[in-house]
Amino acid sequence: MLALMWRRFTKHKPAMLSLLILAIIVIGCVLAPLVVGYDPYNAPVELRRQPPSLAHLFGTDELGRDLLMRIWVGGRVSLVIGVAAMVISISIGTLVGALAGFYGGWLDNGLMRFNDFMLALPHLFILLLAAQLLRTLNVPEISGGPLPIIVIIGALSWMGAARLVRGQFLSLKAKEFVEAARVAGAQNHRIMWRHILPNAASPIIVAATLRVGNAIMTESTLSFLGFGIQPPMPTWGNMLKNAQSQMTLAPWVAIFPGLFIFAAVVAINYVGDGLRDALDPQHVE
Amino acid sequence: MHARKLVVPFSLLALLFVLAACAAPEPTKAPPPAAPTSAPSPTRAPIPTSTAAPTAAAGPKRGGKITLAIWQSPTTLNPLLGTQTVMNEALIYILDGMLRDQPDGSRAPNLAKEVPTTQNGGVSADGKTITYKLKEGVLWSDGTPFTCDDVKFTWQAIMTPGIGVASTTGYSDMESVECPNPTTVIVKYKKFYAGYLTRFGTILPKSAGDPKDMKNWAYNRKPMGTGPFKVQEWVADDHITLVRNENYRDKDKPYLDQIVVRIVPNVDVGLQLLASGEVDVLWSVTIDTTPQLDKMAGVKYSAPPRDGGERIFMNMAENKDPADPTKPHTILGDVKVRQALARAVNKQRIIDQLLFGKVAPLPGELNNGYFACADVKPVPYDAAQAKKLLDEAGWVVGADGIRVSKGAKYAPDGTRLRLKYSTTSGNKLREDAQTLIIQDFKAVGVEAYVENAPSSVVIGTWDANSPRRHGNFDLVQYSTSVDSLEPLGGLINTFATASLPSEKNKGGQNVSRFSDPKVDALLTQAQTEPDPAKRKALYCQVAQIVNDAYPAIYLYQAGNAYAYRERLQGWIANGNNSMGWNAQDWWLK
Amino acid sequence: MTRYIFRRLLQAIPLLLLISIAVFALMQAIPGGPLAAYENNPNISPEDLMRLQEELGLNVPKWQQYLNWLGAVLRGDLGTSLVTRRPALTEIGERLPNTLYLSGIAFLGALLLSIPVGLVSAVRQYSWFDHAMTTLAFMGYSIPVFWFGLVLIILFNVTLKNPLTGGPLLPGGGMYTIGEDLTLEDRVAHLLLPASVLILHNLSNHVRYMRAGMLDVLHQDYIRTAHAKGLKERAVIMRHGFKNAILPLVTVIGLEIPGLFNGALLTETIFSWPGMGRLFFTSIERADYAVLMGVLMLSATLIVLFGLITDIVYAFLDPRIRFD
Repeated sequence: MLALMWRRFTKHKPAMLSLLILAIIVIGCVLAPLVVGYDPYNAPVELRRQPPSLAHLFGTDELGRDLLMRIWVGGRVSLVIGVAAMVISISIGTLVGALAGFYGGWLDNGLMRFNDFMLALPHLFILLLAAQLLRTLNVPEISGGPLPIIVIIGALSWMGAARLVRGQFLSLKAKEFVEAARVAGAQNHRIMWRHILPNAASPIIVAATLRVGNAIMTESTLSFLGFGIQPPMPTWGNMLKNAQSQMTLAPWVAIFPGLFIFAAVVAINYVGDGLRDALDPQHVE
Repeated sequence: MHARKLVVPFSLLALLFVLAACAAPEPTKAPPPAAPTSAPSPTRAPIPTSTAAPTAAAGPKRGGKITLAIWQSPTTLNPLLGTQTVMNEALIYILDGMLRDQPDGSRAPNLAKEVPTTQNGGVSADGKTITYKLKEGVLWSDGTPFTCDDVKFTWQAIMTPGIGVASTTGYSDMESVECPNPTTVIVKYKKFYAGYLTRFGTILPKSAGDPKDMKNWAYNRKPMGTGPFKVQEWVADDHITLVRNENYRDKDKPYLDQIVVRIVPNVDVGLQLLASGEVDVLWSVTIDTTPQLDKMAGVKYSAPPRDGGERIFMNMAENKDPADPTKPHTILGDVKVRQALARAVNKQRIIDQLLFGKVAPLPGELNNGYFACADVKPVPYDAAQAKKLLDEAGWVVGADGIRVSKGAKYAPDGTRLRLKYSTTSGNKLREDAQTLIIQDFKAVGVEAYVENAPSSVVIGTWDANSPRRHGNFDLVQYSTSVDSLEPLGGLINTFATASLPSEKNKGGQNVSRFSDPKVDALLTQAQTEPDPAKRKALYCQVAQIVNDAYPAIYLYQAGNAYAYRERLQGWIANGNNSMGWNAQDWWLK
Repeated sequence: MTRYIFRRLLQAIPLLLLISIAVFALMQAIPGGPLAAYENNPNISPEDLMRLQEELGLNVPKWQQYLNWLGAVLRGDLGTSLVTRRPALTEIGERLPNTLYLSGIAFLGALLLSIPVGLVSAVRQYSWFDHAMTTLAFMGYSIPVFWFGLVLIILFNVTLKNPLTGGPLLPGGGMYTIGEDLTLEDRVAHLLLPASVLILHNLSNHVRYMRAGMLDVLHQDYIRTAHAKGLKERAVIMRHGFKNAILPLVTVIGLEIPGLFNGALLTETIFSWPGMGRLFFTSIERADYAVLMGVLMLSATLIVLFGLITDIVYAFLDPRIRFD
């Protein structure tokens, strides 16, 4: 089954190329800081705003730090935030949506009212507030790090997925194959996770891929507003924010982090697209 | 088939790479010699006026409109209800006060005929009675005459209880404001108030409304004054349109017909609008952005030196919430450690690299105007000395280069020299300076970790658990001043024992928990000293004692740049006042 | 159906009360508090601070502050701003039309573009059109709004000049040219950049959902049956596909409409647009309780309302869903 999916996936050339690009980014983020000699935190300010050169492939930033090195280190933070927040968000969303859509009745009603409550809570406000509050905590181990941001973003972004999954379950549970499974004596949870969920997978995958990019973007929004991860720890988001005042002086400082966000999110989405094709049993080329 | 799908996005990526690589390299270079900035001399001496138009062949012309941008939104235009700097930036065109602060820190008469002194009989011998002679024939912009009754009304409005007036400082010390005739104002103080010349900086017309109903005044949105311009409209968060006050007391002025004050969301947006030519004048940009201004054709800027400046307060008392101010900080309680940290910071490098040498190092409090103390010198950068001091204080270099206590004054042996370092987030210059300072600390074996927060948090109130107030911090960096033009209140707030913040004294602003009976005594003495020269001697003693105790690392003087298009003439940079302080003299080439 | 709607509306009341309590409690946690603005000012003495605390009503117990707020709401008032001292309703009323003007146009633009684009993309899956649109959607989605906005400003406002006037090609911010007569061209010129940023951002999302929904439908058995029966493709798509394909999009739209009232904070910030987003953000910075409460509860009410409307539209579009 997996082999079949992999074969289908490899036929999706953009997805394969995107996977390659993602792999390069991930490997770069993991390995480059260990291998290359620049310190992302040391600021030889006399070398600031140097255009791209052999010594500094992407140039240096406004404090003379090697931009490429900051991008690799910042990428670690941004990617971890994106993926971890997506996992939290999609897990909660799928669970809530599936239960509500499949069982219906009071459970559906209760979960959907909770969903409404969560949706109606002002997200940006809570994000900003939580980001501020967590920073006034006197816990050096977590404050300033990405963990609080991941949890906040994940816990506040599952409602859309829940509605989507519920909608899918509502339509699919009336389908013949579900009836057939039931007649064959399948338990509820088996019907939900084995029969309905795979059929509802493609919109979930679409939503999940969007979510990774969304989480990276949310971090950069928070950074833009001054509430994200604080310098000197780099993320793609706060690097872009810092570049705002450099756009006319040292455009590379603004362009490269933007490109990396862009490349990573585009690649993630293409991979999602490829997975969608690979998972779709009715897929025809 | 699929491969083609990729051509578009990835060729775009490639294109952007090329763009980024080709972008004109802009190596750091000195600002062009044509830069109009009267570079502040490295000393602290008051800087003389730097004119925007050094050579004006033709004289001032009447007419024209300028657009200036401010990057914060005023909350109100009633000076009694607000305190924002940006509100005063808008009000300076509309309202006048008794006196006006000049570029050199002196005061010139505005609505008053002369500055009251003991010599001209304006100030009584005990300093408790101040008499102002008002200029004659001054009209409000609606044509009604300005009289002493308006001054009296302003005082009464400020003292109306229960309406939420922002500041009653000084006014609450007044016993009465009397009007023997329409152009004479006699202000009687209950006790001597050192800042008497700073009061009545704005005067409201008695037609503004009933003080009890102040929050509903139409005046708050459309103030009326004696200044050169009047409000035509104010669209919230967008712009304030000011038009010529036809009743202005100088018949030839103002020269301009209109000033549009655009309210933009942040300074970067303001810079872009200046670059594109949509705005002519940009208020207050940090000096680290001046390379951008250098690139703009036809744009000049000036960075007049200002009062006060950037400093890092060190917590001398224990880092706890709430802190007991009598218990010393385990690390910073030792004056030698504070001294070492002050010497470890390479201020000149920050100034040269981030501020392009355009401001002077901040020597301590009182750096400006009449009360500036020439004897208070900046702490020199001396990393070797800093290391020696730390060695002496019982902090030895550990395995990873960070010091560990061994026989330190307050810290148990084995304590790591690690400090929490906070400043306001979102201020790029400040964050950049912080990065360099952390490096300097590291070079002498001190580890500092960043915990920045928005300014409302860093500066915040006791009830909102501000760490600065509660005392659960090590190092906190921001800009402030004790108000050198009359520093008594500021010095008391910052350094008196009575100003230590606590549950009972939530408003206390003595952040570094500095306490010295000698300073308390000197400040008490100054409170009853009407002679400015004698007060100055007392203040300078305070400043010296404070500097020797190192409650703060003084970094650099405040001094933001104002940028303007060349065609604007007549503006004189004034670090002691709002940008529009001489707007009646502005004209367009 | 009527009974269902009625029941949902009744349920909304305790929900909104609950939200208002939650929001009010959260708001108290804003670090800094409303008096932070008066700090670090040599003119404000510690005595002034204590007096302001009292006079602005901040010494009243929190629960009583909440009840006062609730009482004011029931009287059709939202309380008074602690900062501007004006009614919160006035503050909101001044920004809401500006925000709806920008967000509304951008939303409609994105919607009207996304339906045909998504539809054609799905039907002609893997055609060059599909590839171009998918790419565009990915791009629009992947570009950080503030970065894109700044690039547009630098390009169209700072760099490119209007050949006729020599001024900037497009205005870099604001809703209209201040001090001149309002003209349609002027308003459109000011709308162009911020609306483009918002449209590209919304468009990508809508196209993706529309395309995904349509693809799902195209793979359903009844479509294949219809094909097999020899129905014309256009008829198949319009009669059988469209109504079902739009379902996912309807959910997304229902989630998005309330957001229009909140304003687009980043776009408003970059393009100096005096809207709700900026009011919201400055209210947080200033801990302006009444205005913040007003903005947040307006948004919560709309979200609840549109959640209900979405469900009803869902029922209308998908007869398989029944309400009991």
